[in-house]
Amino acid sequence: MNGLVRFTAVISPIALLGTAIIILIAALPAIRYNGLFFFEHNAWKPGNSYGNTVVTNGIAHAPGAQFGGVFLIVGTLLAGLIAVLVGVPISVGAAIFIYKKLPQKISGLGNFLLEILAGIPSVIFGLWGALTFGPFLAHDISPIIANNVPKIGPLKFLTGNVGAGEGLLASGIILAIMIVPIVASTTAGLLKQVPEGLREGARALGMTDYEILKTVDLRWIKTGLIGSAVLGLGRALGETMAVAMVSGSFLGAIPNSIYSTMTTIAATIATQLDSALQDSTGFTISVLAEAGLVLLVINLVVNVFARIMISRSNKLQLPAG
Amino acid sequence: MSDINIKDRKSDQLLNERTIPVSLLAKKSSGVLRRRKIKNFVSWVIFGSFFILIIAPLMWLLYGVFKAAFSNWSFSVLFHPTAGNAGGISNAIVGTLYIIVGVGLLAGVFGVSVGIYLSEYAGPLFKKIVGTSADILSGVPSILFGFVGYELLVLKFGWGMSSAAAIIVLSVMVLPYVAKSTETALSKIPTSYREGAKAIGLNKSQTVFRVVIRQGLPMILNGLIIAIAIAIGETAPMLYTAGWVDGYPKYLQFTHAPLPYLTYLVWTDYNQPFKSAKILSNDAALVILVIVGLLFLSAKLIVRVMKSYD
Repeated sequence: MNGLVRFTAVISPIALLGTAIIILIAALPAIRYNGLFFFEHNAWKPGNSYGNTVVTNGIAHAPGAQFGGVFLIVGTLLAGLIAVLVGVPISVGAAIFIYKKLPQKISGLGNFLLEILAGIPSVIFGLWGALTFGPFLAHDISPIIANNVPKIGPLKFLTGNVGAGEGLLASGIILAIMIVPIVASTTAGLLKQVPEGLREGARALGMTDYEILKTVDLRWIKTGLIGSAVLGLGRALGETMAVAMVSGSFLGAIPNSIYSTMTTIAATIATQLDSALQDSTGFTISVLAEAGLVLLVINLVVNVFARIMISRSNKLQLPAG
Repeated sequence: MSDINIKDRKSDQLLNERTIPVSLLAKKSSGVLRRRKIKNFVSWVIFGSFFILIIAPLMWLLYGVFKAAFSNWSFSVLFHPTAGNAGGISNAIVGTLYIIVGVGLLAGVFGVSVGIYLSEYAGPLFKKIVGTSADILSGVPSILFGFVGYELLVLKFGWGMSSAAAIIVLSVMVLPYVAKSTETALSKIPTSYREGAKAIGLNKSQTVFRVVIRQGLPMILNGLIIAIAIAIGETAPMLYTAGWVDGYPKYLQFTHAPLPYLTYLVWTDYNQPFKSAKILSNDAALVILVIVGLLFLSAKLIVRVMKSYD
């Protein structure tokens, strides 16, 4: 038994390395054929799958194949950014409310609701987003923003045709709801580590609950909060099905307003599988692997950064004075 | 509880002058006190409304799924397999049960084992390596696991779209969760249990498997069941590994036989032009929610019941 347990410990490092290596190998043909074009242009042309296979530099692909993935990377980051901007403040506020204000009994219920939220499959968020929330947004909320925001500078991005409900804003908000459980539970974990003595001291000084929160709790967990926000970002960047159903899956261009249809790397890997399998040369699959590799790299950077911030927060001491 | 206010910037300045007694100070800043109380109240109203902002979409979503499914509900979908754009969802339910059993076994054995290693065996260095890699693994997007499963299991091993490929990929995906929850469960067992076991002459593996695990079992099972609930709600990795078949999954054939599953119906049929397909999508969404809900409940129940017997 001892040996077996020790043996299984290698699973997670091997799975992690194996994932990276297999995606890299699958992506190699696309990386060599696309070169820097993939990171400088917007294009999604699988080529003519009925034409004769062309071989360029030893890589077989359909005639006319051309892939530039800037729109994928920008779309992924934009959707993640909206998710964090909307989702993190709400999650942190709600976590503070559940664990610091609600009485013990109801706090358990709040925690339970967060667990349910975490357990809802992403495809169901997608279904709700596509059929209910997206149309509601386009019909009742987006026009108010679009018609009242002045068309100056970067605010232009908030104006324009609000569409039918599928698009960047809808995806971002659905993602914001989906990252709530992880951000809120990380925040709750951080709040629990604040030494009770400090809080008692603050109370003895006559501070109100809000003042204790601001001067003791939030100062103590500041670094960790950044970490939990970044952890939420990582979740949002990799989310697939909900975005695939709510984004409108528009390939080939960067969204020109917050309402326009778009897509992310993860969603594209899911939605383009069928058409990639039509490509008998297998080159489109390799392009999906290249996109996946970009996603993996972004995700690893984001997650490692988040873990460092959170663990550093655990070791923090209050500044003297 | 907040009658004196020494911490105010205004009163801080006064205090620094050290000329005015504290009793006078309290009188002077009664307006400040009121402002602080109002600020306190407003802040909690804002935090409370954030809480409602989270609960509202959850309720709306649950209501939406139930309403959509019940408006065209018939029990016959539970007993008939899918036939193109119509039929029922019984084959997908059976496939999902396959996943529950498969992931329960695989992630159960290996995930719990990794958790035991982290809690009971690992030295500080390996604990760091294994623990960190599990943390990072849990952040890898599930679609990438699907892609790796497709490249390695479906193509390289030649298994085709199959239940084995799907179950292995899902198990690797939830393994960090099972490992972490097992580690947490075991780390809560008091050291005195281990010391007591050692004192009566049990060796390491007897201590771990007969004493420590028995105490941590409810929480371990709790983590495993939630991991299974996460696994059956996944779609993205399944698209690349499980495939789909209109009939039932082949009995005890794990490779070269595609596996129907519920989330596939939700994803494929929700925007089909046929009404029968949309109905299937809504029904599958309801059934998957009910199964996930039952798993969550049983996880809670296990902790309650088993705790009361020890």
